[in-house]
Amino acid sequence: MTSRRKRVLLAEDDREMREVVRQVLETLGLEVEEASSGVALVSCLVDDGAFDLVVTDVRMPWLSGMQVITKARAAGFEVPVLIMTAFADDELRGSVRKIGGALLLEKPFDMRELIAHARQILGIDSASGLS
Amino acid sequence: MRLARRLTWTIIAGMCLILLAEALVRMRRNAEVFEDDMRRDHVLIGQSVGRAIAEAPRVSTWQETLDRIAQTLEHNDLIRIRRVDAIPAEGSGARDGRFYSYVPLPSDSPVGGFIEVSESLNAERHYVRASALRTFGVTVTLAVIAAVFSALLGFRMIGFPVRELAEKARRVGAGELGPPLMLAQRDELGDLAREMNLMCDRLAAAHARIASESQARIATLEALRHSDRLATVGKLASGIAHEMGTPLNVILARGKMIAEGEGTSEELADYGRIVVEQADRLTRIIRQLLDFARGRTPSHAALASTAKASVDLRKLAQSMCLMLAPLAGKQGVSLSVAEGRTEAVTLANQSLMEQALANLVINAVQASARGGAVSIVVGAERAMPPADVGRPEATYLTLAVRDQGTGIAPGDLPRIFEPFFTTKEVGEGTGLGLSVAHGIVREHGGWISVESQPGRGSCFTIFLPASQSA
Repeated sequence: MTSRRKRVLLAEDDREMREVVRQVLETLGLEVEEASSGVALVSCLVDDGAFDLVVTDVRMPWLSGMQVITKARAAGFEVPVLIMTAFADDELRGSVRKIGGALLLEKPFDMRELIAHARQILGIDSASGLS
Repeated sequence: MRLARRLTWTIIAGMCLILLAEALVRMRRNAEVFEDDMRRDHVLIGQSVGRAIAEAPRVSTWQETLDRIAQTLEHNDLIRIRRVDAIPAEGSGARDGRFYSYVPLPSDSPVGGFIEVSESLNAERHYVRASALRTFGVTVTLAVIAAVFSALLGFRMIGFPVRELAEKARRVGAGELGPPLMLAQRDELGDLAREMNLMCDRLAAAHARIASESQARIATLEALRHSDRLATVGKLASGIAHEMGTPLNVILARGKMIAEGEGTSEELADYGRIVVEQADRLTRIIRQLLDFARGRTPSHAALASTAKASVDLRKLAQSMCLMLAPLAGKQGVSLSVAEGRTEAVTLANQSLMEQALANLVINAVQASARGGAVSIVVGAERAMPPADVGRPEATYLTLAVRDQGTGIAPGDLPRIFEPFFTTKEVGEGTGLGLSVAHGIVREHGGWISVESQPGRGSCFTIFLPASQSA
């Protein structure tokens, strides 16, 4: 039984959105690492070690969240991903299915949905952050 | 009145000529008759004298007899008689103001030769002069009377009505189909007046028809533009909806936090502020689209919908860029504005110009691949308009929309501004965008020029007259 806090990588270019999601994730006792662009997402994945969950927006400057995760999966990155998007079309759903280990959250979504998914994925049943 | 005058003078001149000719002929005839009479008289006289001389008693000489008779005659009539041996070379007839006749003396007269009878022609000359004067007087009087009558009648029957007709024609030409012209006379001029009135009635009916057709046409154009505008709004709507997702998400989450009182009162106040900010952001996004959609609806008066005001093209480009950014973003196309440094202000209808520019930019964005770039460039350049624009070569303001997209096939280029012409799939485009833009720009005294290379991209440039000459 590890008492390490779960680490979440949050990638979202909109400041307010990033703030509120971070706050929500932190109430779950999670350690949140922030990235504000696709490029930052890449460098976080590469430099900052293991994450238990990635929560990412699709449309970001320079690189889209989808492009990064797709490449990361191909490179063997297996961490589960929660994908936030304001526009979910069939093409996106297909890509999400192909990536595997990913769930789509359509904006505007209820934060309780995010909490529920995160808890399920990370196996948390309380706000202690311990599994 | 010139017509009447001309008629009058022609008739009078003709009349005078006839009168004069008649008078001349008559006078000559009279003179002949006069002379014949004279001749006859003279013959008679001569014969009488001859006889007298022949019969005269030997008491007096023939010369005395002749002298006595001559004296008598001279007394009465200025007739002179004398005996001559032979007829002079000049013969009988008019000579030196007298008429000479030669009557041979009878064979049994004591003396031979001729009796020369001569009479002054003064009477004749008097007669001729009197005749001439009388003819002249009659002619002049007749001419004057005829002139006066012709003038009066001509004026009343021709001059006045014709002037009325001319005045009516002038009024019709100026657009006043007005009250009918009533001419009492039942002649050709009266007919003309009646026909003109009928013509005016027909013109008025035609005008009314044209006016209503023209109104229908304007209404149709308005409706067409409106539907194009709504189509644009439709295209933008999904991009806008996309934009709205994130702010809504923040509002939802923070709103819930406030409602559930999760946090200190400072934090809650902060969340409240965040909610307001995001709501403002949403309002801005929607307001821009709503304003564009409203533009001018067909229910407004046609006049108001084409009202022009001073429009800054640089500001227009910027606001269109903002409004269309979500759509561009959704297509993965970057949209930018290059304003240029010079002022670009012209007289235009703001919402119509927005519509035209929006149509060009949307086309450019849709023709671009992901990662492509569309740029709007505001500038000015010296150009020669196409012939049918009817403007001189001058400096025009330019709004250019440049893309790196699929380009337009040379075969399609001449048709792109045709209404309903589209190279998109059925249901994807209305084919109205470019023709609406073209119509709007033409109405502003400008034109759209196109440069395109298939596979490389296109550049659509709107040329507009600079402020003063619009």
